[in-house]
Amino acid sequence: MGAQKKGGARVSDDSEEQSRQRLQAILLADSFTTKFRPVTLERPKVLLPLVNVPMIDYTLAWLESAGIEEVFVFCCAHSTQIIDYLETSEWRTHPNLVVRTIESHKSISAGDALRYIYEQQTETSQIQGDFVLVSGDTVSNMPLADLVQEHRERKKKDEKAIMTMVIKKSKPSLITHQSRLGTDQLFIAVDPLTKQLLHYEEDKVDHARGSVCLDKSLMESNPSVLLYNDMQDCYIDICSPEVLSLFEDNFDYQHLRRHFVKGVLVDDIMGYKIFTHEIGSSYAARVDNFRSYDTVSKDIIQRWTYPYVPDINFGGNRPVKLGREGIYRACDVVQSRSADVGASTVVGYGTKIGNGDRILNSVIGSGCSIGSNVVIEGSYIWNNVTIEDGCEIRNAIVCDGVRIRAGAVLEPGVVLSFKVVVGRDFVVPAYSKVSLLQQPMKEDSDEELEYADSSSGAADRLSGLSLEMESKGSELGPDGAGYIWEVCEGAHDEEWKHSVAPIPEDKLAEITQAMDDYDDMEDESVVPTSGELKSDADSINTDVNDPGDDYGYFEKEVEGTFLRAVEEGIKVELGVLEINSLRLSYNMESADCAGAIFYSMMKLAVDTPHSSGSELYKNAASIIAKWKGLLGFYVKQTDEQIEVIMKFEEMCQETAKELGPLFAQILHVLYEKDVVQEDAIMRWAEEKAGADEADKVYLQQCETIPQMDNNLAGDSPPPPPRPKWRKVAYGGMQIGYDDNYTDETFLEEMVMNANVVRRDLLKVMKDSVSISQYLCIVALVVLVWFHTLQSSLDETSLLLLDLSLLALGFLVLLLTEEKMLSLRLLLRYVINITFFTTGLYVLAPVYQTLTRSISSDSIWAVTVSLLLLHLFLHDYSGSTIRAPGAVKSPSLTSCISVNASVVASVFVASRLPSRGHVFAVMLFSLQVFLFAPLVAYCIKKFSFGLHLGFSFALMGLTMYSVYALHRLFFVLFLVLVVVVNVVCPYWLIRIQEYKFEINGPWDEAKLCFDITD
Amino acid sequence: MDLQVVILAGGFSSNLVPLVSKEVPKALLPVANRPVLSYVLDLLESSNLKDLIVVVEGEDAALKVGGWISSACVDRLHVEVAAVAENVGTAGALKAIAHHLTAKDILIVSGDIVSDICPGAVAATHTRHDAAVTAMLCAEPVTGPAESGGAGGKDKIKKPACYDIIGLDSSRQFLLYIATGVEVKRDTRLKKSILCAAGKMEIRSDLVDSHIYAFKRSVLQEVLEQKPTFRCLKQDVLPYLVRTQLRSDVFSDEKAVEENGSGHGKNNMQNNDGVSSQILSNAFLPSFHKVYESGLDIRKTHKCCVYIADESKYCVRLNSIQAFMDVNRDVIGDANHLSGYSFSAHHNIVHPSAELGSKTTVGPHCMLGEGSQVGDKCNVKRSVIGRHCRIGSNVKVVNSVVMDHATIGDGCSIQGSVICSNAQLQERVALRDCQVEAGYVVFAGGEHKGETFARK
Repeated sequence: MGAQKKGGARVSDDSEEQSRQRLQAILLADSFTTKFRPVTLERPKVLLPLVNVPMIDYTLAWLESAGIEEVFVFCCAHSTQIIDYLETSEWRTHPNLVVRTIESHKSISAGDALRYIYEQQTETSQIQGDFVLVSGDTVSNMPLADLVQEHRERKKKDEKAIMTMVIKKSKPSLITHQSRLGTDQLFIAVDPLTKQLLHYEEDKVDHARGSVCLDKSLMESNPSVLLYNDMQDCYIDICSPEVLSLFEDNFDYQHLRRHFVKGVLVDDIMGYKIFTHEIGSSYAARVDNFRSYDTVSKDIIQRWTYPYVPDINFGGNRPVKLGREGIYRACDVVQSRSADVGASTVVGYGTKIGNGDRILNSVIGSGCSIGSNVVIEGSYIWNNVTIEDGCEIRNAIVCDGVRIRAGAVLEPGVVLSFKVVVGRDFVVPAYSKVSLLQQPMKEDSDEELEYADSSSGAADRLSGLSLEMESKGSELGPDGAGYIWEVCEGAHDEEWKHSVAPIPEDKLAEITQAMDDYDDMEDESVVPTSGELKSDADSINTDVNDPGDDYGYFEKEVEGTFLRAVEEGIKVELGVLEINSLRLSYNMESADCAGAIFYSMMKLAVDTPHSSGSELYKNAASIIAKWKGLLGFYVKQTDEQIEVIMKFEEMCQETAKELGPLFAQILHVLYEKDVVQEDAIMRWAEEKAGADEADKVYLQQCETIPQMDNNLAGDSPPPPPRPKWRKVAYGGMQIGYDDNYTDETFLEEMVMNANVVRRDLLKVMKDSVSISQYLCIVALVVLVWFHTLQSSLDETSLLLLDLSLLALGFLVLLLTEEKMLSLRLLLRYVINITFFTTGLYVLAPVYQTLTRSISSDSIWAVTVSLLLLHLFLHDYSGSTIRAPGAVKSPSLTSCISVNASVVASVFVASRLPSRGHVFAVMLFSLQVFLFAPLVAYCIKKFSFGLHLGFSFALMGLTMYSVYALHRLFFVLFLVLVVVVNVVCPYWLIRIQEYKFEINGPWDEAKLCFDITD
Repeated sequence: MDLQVVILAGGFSSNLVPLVSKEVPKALLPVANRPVLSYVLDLLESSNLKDLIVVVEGEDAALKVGGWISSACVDRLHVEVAAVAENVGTAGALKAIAHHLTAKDILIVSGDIVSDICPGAVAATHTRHDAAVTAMLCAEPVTGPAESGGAGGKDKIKKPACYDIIGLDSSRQFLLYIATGVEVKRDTRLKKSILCAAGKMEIRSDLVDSHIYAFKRSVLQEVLEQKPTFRCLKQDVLPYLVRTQLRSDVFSDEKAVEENGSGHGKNNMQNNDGVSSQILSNAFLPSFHKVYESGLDIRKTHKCCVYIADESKYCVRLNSIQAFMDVNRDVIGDANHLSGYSFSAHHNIVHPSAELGSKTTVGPHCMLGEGSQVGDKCNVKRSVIGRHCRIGSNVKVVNSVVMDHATIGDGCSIQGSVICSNAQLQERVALRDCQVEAGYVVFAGGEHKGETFARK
């Protein structure tokens, strides 16, 4: 789920981001099948040589040239061998391609592998976006970058487009219905416009003559659908991260196509879409079985896979020379003159070819020695094989280290695994597979077990076996070594389909014949004519499962489960789980479960050997006592309990008549064990009251019980245990709880006023001192203006005051912030101030005459209001006033505030008699308004105590001056200061108590820090 | 061109009750005051197909149809009318007239088609491919009042999903799969063998089989002989031929006969045939039938071809009351080139002899037959009114068809209804989506919706 969200977020990112993503690929170095057995018992499939180069090299070389930057190689079977190989190969140090390995031994399918990668992914998040999913046996030369780009663009438009599959045209044979790669024929339906995949069906040849079934909704939603039969799935997929999470969500997806693709196509809740991409000129094929091994090898020799051909170096192979007629020959081959090496043949390094040999259409590895008069046709001889004189090998695969003694014959389709020895003049029968290892037993011949034997273990067994072999003799002639694997029954017919040998003529004739027979048969089952159509449709409808029948099956299943639980002593909880899953799959009510379980319990009791009624009663009681937890889980409601009683009654009447006399007693047991409650019994009795006399037998039997019950009603045993409720965001319903259920713990997490800061009265008061401090400063300025206007201050003393204040201010700055104020900065200050004062002096006459035409009253009024505005908007916290060099610009309100103060000073100044006065007052007020906050802030920052002292001194000074001016003003000012410093803080603290805010787990997340910090 | 044309004109179709009656078989139902059969005859005449066999179910109906044909077009066309028993189905009808069929190919046209698609094109496709059967497909018709109308948009009824599912090969020349009617309700099942042979199949659900087929006579007769249970061409014969196209047994006898007759020369001739048909069909590659045949030596195949009409062409079958309404509306509306009338500047046709009262308006896409009288303050919109009808005052006729000699009293309101000939509506009757049988009298003052008036 997390990855999905991530993916979603990523889509919205801009395209640059996308193009910067690395191209990544997941390479599954395990095919999770057993088609290459017995060879794959000893060596992983991806390391098997394909025209003398390990398959994985083809894949990696292609990925590298297609622009993939990082490959995750998922190793499972023989993982150590693969990792060792990659360590020593040149891929480890390749400049353009980073190869990482992921190792897991638990995966038994591609689905498991992807789940494992997903788990890893959540820890390391290596896979950042769309990736290419290939298996390690892919040979291709198709370009990928454009395809990935196409996929990303499609994904951007439609978030549901999670995968792009590569398909290639390849018409399957009309007769055998398999492609030239030996895979089954494939039917896919594609939307012709969008190329969306609508249907995917890969079927076994046996059903090939039936029909493809397209869902009717498909036809309803698409006016036109293209159905291909001539396409081949290349198993190259461009996947979005959702693919991994889908595998995680659907833990039963195993096979990439059979489960995943079909699952996605069928599931219309999520609405995910898969798209296809058809490649035209490039090559892509997967070595899936021996036939495709043969086909792909031939394609490589015929250079369809260029540049991945034997005479070009890619991925560390030693190139061999290409001669005429498509003969590739290493330079150091020792070839007898009389040997005839025919077309389309590859001969590896250090191989010796003897006299009179005939080699055609074959691949021979390095270090082989071939005797004289040997015939090799259409075969694949791997490395270090010894073939003695006079052998005949046709269409066979011969692995490393095999020794074929003189005169032996390999018939078509033979596979000789590693180090097998074929005895003298021995004829290996067609399609046989020979290995030194014995064929695994039937029960572990599951598809998945390829991984089970790790390489070292296999080697141990190998050595042991070969010893054993010596003594025992061999199935391959007197001097041979190896077991001929038996073909499992059923698969016998398949042998010829997937072997390296071409399909023999008689087989083809046989199939053609079979097809004719089938056609005739089909004619018998004539498709109904229009008149009959309806009835046919009806019969189909009635076929659909009968609910009654369903219940019967369900009951049987429950009984089986219960008996197993009894035998194996399974815990009640596990039993509940199993029965729940049955309930869901049969879509039953819990009452049905209760009935079925009770039925199974009673049946068990009856089936347990007993001689008398009392023994039966004991049995039943003990079973009820033991399994009441299981039953109790389903009989929480009265209705369910009634169902149990009814079921019991039915049993007594029909299936288990022995229980009849014990009805009342067992019902009593049920009551005592608290399976059935009094309520239910009463209700049951009521229901039965109106029934026939025959039905009332049991009612009369237990007539006594309710009275008895009344005595027992006092003690109520504890209710049956329920699984504990957990708070989960998702994950489905919890058994036994409603969807909207919450328990007490949920409310425990509720918090009131979580975000409220508890404030200390004293601290608030201390903080508010800075407000009153600034109030005092402004009051002082106003006082100075007043005195100047009254002419009680002349211009010289004003100028002196200006200078002294300036000097004081600088002193304070220097003392408090010595680090910040360097000499240069100081110099700049001085220059600035000089300019400032000069400018002010020049402009002073203008100010003086500025408001001559306006009456003084309005000037005073405007000034007062501007000052109030200034006070109101001033930033008292001081945080906006920054030391010089700070970046942050002040806010709009503080700008307005400063400007208001400046305008106020200009207005006041314009009422002054002379230019000197104007200049002095302007200088003073600007100094104070602009720099006093800075100075005060510096003081406060330097020492809080000093700040307090300074503030109180200012307050005292102001009080005194105001008192000297007028007593009323003094009182007002005092009140103001007291309100600001005492009343307001107290009010703030008190008002907090009335705050009421509820916080809890339901709150949305909030940012609690500033992002820009 | 060795071709015979068979028109299956049907009889008294039960779908169209009460519009059809003993007097008016289906083929003679008026579409814009002309029998529907005349549209088919015109269409065939335009393709220069003049030798026609009209097959009618029931003797009475055959007499009626024959009478009309002899009066209408005896001078232009050479028409034979054949009567077959009722309810034999289309396949049965063909079997009944089998002895009349002599030409190499048979073109079968349903008698209730109103279309402007050239049937000659179907025949040409058929000969070019040397096919066993060629079917004509056209785009799914739009039902309900046309969008351009605007006024009648509210009573647009979507037909129940009864489309055909058709599988074509990649060149869109061959028919690989067809399912019609009932089968569509189920999931589509496609035979793999045909799919394998063709490699690729395009499945379309936006095309319909328009019931014009060209059959090879030998094939058709063979099938009808072998499968006596087949009743319907569309639902039985065509799907059967499509199904069995890769293992044909319809040719076997014919070929055997040929072999006896022409001996050694036959092989050579057949090869020539193959080559020439390949050249004719402009195909560089042999068709998949050929490939399949060559792959399996003993196989015989036949080809099922299609001719897909252009989307702009008009093609509707008159096989339901809704279709009847649609066809009438379209012929005087959007597809007015079919009607053969010349329209006035107001896009309507008012016969000069029709009398209109004062303040009566006849809107566009209307037709008023000769000698009809319309009273004062009437309003006629998008409707067809037949000959010699009498319509009183204050009558409103919208989206309706009024056939000849009908009488409508004062103050009636008729919407989306069909009034058959000689029917009488008394004063202040309000009809909506109703059908009134010929000669029926609807009494005064009733208000009806979606009813059918017919004598039991």
